[in-house]
Amino acid sequence: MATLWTLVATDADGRNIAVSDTLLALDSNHLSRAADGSAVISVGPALSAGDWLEIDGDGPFRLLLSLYDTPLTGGLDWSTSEMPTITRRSCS
Amino acid sequence: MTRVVLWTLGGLVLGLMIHLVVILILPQYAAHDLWDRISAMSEPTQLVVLDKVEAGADNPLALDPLFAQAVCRLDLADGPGQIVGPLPDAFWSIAVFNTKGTAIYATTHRASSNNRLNLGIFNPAQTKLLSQQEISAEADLLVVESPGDDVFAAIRLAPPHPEMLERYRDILRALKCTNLGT
Repeated sequence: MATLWTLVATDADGRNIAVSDTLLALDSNHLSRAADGSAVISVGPALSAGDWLEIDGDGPFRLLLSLYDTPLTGGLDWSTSEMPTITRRSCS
Repeated sequence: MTRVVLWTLGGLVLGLMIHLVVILILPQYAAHDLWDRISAMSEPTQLVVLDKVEAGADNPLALDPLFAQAVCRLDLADGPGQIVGPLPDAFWSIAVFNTKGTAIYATTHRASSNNRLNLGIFNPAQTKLLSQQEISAEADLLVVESPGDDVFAAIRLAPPHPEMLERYRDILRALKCTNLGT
């Protein structure tokens, strides 16, 4: 549904809360996907298997998904407008 | 009694209308809008590569950390604007905004065949001169018409790998953002 998308985690003031400056965000070109093209991304301070955006701190945070070059903004194609689901996991 | 009810109703409707109008025009009177910020950080024809996003640091423009990004402000009263230079074989986009921060034109790498950006921004009078061939333009110039003279362009490059971000910022620095002579 987009040429490229990125996923960023920020605090309430928009500061990036990734642990490392070398991995500030995940993007659609660097993911391991299932056979149907779907991807499971973990965001948190605890080591996770698969695609993992390592963040720092505790408390609430924001996830920002940006779609680039997408037909959605032009209102041309709403057929693929299914957004990803977010699931809260245990704080281990 | 009916008269009092009518007056009260009329007063309420009038109050509601004034309320709505004030809310709708409020953004136009905002003292510190996007155009002010862009004006504060750059002179016309000065291409500014925006700072990299860092973990834990303020990000007032809410920039995407994976992109190399630049802005350039142009005053078309000094002649048609041109943004030209080679761009990489990766995702890029350019958008032209007016002073209200509304995009009047945008395109991406998919619209380019030779990985070279050559965008010309013309006000209505200059567009007319162009159509009368009184302004000469290169064959691959992408013509964008802007209703007003004050515009800025935002250019975004997506490096295939984060390690290439600095190199992509250099590519942005090499772009030329100028006024064409008329």
